[in-house]
Amino acid sequence: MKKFIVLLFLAAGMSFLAAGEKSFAGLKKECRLLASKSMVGELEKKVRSAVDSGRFTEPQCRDLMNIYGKAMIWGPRWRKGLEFLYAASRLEASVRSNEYFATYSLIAKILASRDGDPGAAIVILEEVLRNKSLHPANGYSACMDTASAYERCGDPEKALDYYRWALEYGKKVKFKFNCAPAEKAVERLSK
Amino acid sequence: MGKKLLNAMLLTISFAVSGLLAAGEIILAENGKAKASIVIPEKCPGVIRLAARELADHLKLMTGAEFRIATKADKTLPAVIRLGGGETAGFKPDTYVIRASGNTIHIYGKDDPGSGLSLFDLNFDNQWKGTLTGVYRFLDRLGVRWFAPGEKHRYIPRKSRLDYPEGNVKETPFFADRQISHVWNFDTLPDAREYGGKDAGREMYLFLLRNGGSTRSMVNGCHSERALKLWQNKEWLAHPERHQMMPNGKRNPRYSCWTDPAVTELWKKAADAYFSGKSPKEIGLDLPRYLGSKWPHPFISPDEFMIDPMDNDDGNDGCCYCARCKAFRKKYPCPDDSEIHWKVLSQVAEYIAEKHPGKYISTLVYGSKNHMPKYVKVPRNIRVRLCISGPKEMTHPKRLKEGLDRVRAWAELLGKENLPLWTYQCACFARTMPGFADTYPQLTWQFIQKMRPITNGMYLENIHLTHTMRVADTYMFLRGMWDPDLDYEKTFDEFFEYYYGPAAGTVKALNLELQKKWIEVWKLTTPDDPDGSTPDIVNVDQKRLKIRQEGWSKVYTEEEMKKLYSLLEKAEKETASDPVYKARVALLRKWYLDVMLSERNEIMGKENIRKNIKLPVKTIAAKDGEFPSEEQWETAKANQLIPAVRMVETLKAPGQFKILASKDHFYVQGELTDSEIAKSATDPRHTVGCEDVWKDNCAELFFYAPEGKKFWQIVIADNGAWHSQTTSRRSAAPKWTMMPGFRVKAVKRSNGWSFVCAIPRKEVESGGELRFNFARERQLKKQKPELSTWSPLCLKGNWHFPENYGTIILK
Repeated sequence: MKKFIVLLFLAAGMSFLAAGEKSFAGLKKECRLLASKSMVGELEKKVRSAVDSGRFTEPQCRDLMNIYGKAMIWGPRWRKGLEFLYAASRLEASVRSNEYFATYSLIAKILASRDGDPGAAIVILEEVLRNKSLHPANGYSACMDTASAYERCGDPEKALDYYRWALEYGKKVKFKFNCAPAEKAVERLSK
Repeated sequence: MGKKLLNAMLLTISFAVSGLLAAGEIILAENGKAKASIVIPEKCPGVIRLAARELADHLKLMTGAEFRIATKADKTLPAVIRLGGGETAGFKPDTYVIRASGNTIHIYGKDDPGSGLSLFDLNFDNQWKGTLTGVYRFLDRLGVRWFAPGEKHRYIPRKSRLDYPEGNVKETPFFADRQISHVWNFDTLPDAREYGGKDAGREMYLFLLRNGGSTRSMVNGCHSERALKLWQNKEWLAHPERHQMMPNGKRNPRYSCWTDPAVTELWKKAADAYFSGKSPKEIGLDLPRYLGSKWPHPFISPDEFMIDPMDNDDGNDGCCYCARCKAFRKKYPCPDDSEIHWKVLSQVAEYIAEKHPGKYISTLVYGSKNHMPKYVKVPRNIRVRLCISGPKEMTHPKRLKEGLDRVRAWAELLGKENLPLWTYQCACFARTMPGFADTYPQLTWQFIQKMRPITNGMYLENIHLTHTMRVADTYMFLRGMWDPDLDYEKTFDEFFEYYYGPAAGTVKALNLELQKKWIEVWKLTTPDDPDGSTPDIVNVDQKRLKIRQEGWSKVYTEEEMKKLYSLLEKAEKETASDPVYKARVALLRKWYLDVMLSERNEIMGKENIRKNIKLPVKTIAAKDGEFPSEEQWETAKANQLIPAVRMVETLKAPGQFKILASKDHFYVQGELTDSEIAKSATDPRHTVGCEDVWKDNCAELFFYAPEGKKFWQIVIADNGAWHSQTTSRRSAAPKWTMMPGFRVKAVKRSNGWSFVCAIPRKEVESGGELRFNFARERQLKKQKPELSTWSPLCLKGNWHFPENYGTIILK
């Protein structure tokens, strides 16, 4: 019996260590998988555990919280996702990074779509767009979302400005990039 | 006899004197007409044809004359410039000769007979281009200067008569290794087009060739283990005992167990195959070629094979934790895994020394291989690139000494000719100090003097946000590395004089001010504390923001930025009438100071406003468990709420709050008027601890302590229900949790509602600054919510972001 208990503890300890020592890449993959299967309960546990473990850097924690936030957008408990994203925004990340941008982009999406408040989304996105180090692909995305929000707020002139700005960003993207939505929007609003 | 002897002597002397007078100048052009032709050998290599083209083009720019290039001299012209040919035995890379005598100028060096016209190849890999180097040095002697890539950034002296003095020159650059970064990817810099337009990349290669940059032939690259892609190799995967054992006991095929004898054998096999001219496939490694090499990068040098472990990333320290490695570390103690790696390196090097004499094994001293081995004899056929911080340490005597001591130790062991450096001028890397003007040509020059007896050169990783921010440093670096005996002040002054013309003095003053400020920010953010590691950038995310805030608030203050801009404005006025200099000064605004300002505003723009949002809080004596008395509340200032949504100027339901502090608590009193309070949307089923209380007619208190990143959001409904949410540095995922010790009393009246609450200070404070905001969500049935806030920076959407809160000031 003693041996069994010792073995049990050893196994628990080893699995704890194994869980604890997982690389970030592996963990992120698991989280993405859970998100794709909408297993949000499991996902929340995993993200919380990782974030509170102290083993990962702030940008990494932010990345995981973004995954959770994104998974929650279209579910009934989207507010919880929003809370995670707000918490993520308080974690450090390079302003050029995708983790940085994704947090604010997702908050803005939730505010505009689920909270029905495109004005609040504009507040977030305009703040993000002040950042000159934004990757052009992210800049394009932010401009498109801002423009769309302005259209919903009944301000097509401002929307057109942002669609045009999106096109400028799109031209700076080095890889193959589709700016057709911005082009179509500019054409539509210019008539 | 005496008279005849005297006459003969006088005649000899006069001949000698006239000979001396005649040993003068070879005329190359006069009044727009060429007086010399350029002669190249028949069937000459591409590098000489390029040299001839460059020479002809530049001479034309100087004189307006067309210089013919041919394989035979034009006999109608009095002089000839011959390129190539000549005895080059014993010449080193970039050694050249200029022999000017009579009517001939002969410029030559050792050239690769098979060289084409690929600027990439000439810049990076082909060392044998002595004639081209000679032509550029010839033009340099005629006064031509290339300050930055592109036609707009050179100085061409205009001469109606151009001549060159007779005499012989043979020169070799002092340092063999003279490299900078951001070359092959130069056109990714945001201002690259200002330096060469669409051909910016090509212009950068020409700039480096013209200014004497070296190839990458010596200890090229890093982390060559990654290039072998072992984790994709079947044979490797079939032997997990050769893989790194991670602390959890699992094997990771991306990293090696360097004490496994099979790993040493693998490297021996690879190095042997490489020097034998075999492809990786012939020894079972399916790897892509790189340019002219059968192997991938960095295996491109004919004389070297690099053995360097994977870089540490993704939370992996690169160390193997198997029993054998642990035992090795115990037997041969070392602060990192240097002993483990050097054992392998030495064994492979000894093997190669026997099998391929004259060939080298190269590696970096960096990362987990940062120490000199004590237990292993390092063979002579080793080359090392030692990674140290570099010129910026001239301001930190202890750190400088530590770095130079390490260099000296390695130089003693290997010989300075096998020891180039890797140094860092990249404060903006990873957004550590973006925007701080990372400029210090004087420190670089001083550092060059320190390193000249002990190394073979350096690769300066000079990453900046724009090229404009590194123009002066790059130019001075290349000049100094070619010839460290040049006069620094003269070279520095010449740069400003020829590049900025009438604004030379002002732009020099601007640069000196920027250099001074760099030194201040470097000293502020980095103590003079040698720790033996590679001190280049700060790797801790949390510290980066703090560094940026400190730098912008204490060094590059508002006043300092004004000073810099006023110098720039002066330079703009001074060059207003000259389009060439005006355009160069304009770059300083768009791609230098404006970039700095933009970076500053990212940190300080909002912070400048935010730091002026202060909430004075009076301290009172209060009894435990009680709220402040009416009299005490009378003494507190009423803080008004404003709309938290843009375009809304007035609130339908105004509100205000007061705040007091005792030794242990903050007390907040909210007075929220509302003529329609009867329509409150508060759900009566919501009680204390209900997470849905935010849906009610409520007020929200936000506290944030930057020190521990401690965040609290307390939501109080008009029926007294409340709940709270918290995050901190140690616990970043949000939790709804009842704040221990929090007390609240809410009262509804006919014209609104009010509350008073007590917040334990120990729950919200963390030492240092404490930020606060008060927000209201007026939720009435069948009406749109009305949102209001105290901090003017907080709007709906961003009021969870502490960079919008005010600061509590205890009185």
